[in-house]
Amino acid sequence: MEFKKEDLFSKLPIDIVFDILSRLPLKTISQCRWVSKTWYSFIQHPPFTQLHFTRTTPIPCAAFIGGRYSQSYVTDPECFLNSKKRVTAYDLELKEFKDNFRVPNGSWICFDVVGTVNGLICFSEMGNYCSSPYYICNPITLDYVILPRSPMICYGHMASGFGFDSVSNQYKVFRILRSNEVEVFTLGSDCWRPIRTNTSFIRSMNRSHALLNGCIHWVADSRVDGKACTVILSLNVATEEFSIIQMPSISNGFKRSSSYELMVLGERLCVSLCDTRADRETWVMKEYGKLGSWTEEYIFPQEFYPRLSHRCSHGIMEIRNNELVMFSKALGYYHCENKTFNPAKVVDVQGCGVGMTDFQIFFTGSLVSPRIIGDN
Amino acid sequence: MKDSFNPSIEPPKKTVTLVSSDGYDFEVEEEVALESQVIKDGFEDKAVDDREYLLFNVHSDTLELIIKYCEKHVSSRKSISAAAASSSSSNGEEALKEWDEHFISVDTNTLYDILMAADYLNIKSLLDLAIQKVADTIHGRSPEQIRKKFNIENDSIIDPWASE
Repeated sequence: MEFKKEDLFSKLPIDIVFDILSRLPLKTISQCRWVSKTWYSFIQHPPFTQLHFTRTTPIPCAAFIGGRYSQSYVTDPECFLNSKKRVTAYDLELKEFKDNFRVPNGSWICFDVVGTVNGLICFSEMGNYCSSPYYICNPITLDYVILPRSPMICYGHMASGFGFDSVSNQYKVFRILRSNEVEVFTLGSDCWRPIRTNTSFIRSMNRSHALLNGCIHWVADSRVDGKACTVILSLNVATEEFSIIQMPSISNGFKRSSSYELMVLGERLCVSLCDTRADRETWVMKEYGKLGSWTEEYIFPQEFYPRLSHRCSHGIMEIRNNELVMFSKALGYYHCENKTFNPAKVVDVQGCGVGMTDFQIFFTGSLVSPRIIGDN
Repeated sequence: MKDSFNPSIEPPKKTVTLVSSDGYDFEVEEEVALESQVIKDGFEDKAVDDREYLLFNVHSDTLELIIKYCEKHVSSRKSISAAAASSSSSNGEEALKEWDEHFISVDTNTLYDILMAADYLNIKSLLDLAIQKVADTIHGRSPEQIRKKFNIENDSIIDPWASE
């Protein structure tokens, strides 16, 4: 038989190539970028990464983010889906990350998770020290981008948020300043732009956030007719407009926004009351936007609290019906009906145990690049 | 070859002629040819006596393999359902899987030809088998090994995050 010395792969129809790559683990596809320029541009091509993300089963992953002095890790993307008891975590070397986020006295963590969407995680600096830029990375592909500084960077922000508008295919970072001004950065553009809006009714905001239905949500302290109240503030990523969702009537009366944590479980907005002395009651908005649909559904027993409860956004993720992964005393699986928690052992590639780092976050693994946005 | 008109034997099986891109005729049983969704669709549209299919994109070497695959699958399906009907135990599915695995263990060029032919003829199970084989070939290989396996030119793209 004659030996055909040609690149057969390049001649395959695009949907077959897609099918082949879709059957491979996320890490392997990510590695395949380095086969050739053709493979690189195909795998990084936004239509491919987006289609891969929407067509395949969501792949839950966890990142262990360490500050300046500790190592960061990302878990093997396929481990949670298979409910593995032993989870492998790879070294996560995020370039320029440690240079931007300092840990001054060894203990105080200055970086904060702004949000995660489509496999991208956005970091910023915690409230008062706003000298560092926004950093967006994909922990699977290690691709990252650093946003240019806002001219208003010296005005501290109450909260910031990271969202995706699936219609225009745009990723946006929002900053809500203490002066109640709001500015936005669209990924792929080159500058921050102010949004005309009236947010003067907001007094303070909780960093805990949740992205659902194209809107970023925060719990905020507001003042209506001179009376203090706590509300859920929702920001539509596409229209850049704010609206208010009323909180469920949680039993213990009025609490400041910092007592609550928002999350998304099973594609539903949830708010839970973080009282360190009691079981954590969690309310679910069964029908988005319908106030009457708030229902108390999950009660997380006190002993399973995520360690850093007050700023542990993305510390819980649903992996299948009735089963969650969460950072409790350790990382583990939580069964909602049985209320049982089964810890998983997290080990690095050498088999050594990986402990909790400065920050832990669950995200959905993808190949989406924060640098290559849009169709070109 | 003509069948005799002896009424005691089974009626002759209907056949179809497949013509490869290099001009070879392959006479196959109708049910074997119908494994291809494209032939099946064409068959329903065609006049009854037109039983010749010109396969412009499939070389005779590949067509031979494709026919072998379809014949095996048609006969296995029959024996599996016969075993199920007589509720006798059978490892037909297992055996067929093994046969498939052996069938698809070919060199890269042949695998490519089978993949393209299965896509062109729309034989879903074979396409799936070939795609899985390519995926398995990529899995666990370094970019350098993948380049070698698929004859991909190294146009020196570097992994900026690779450890030294």
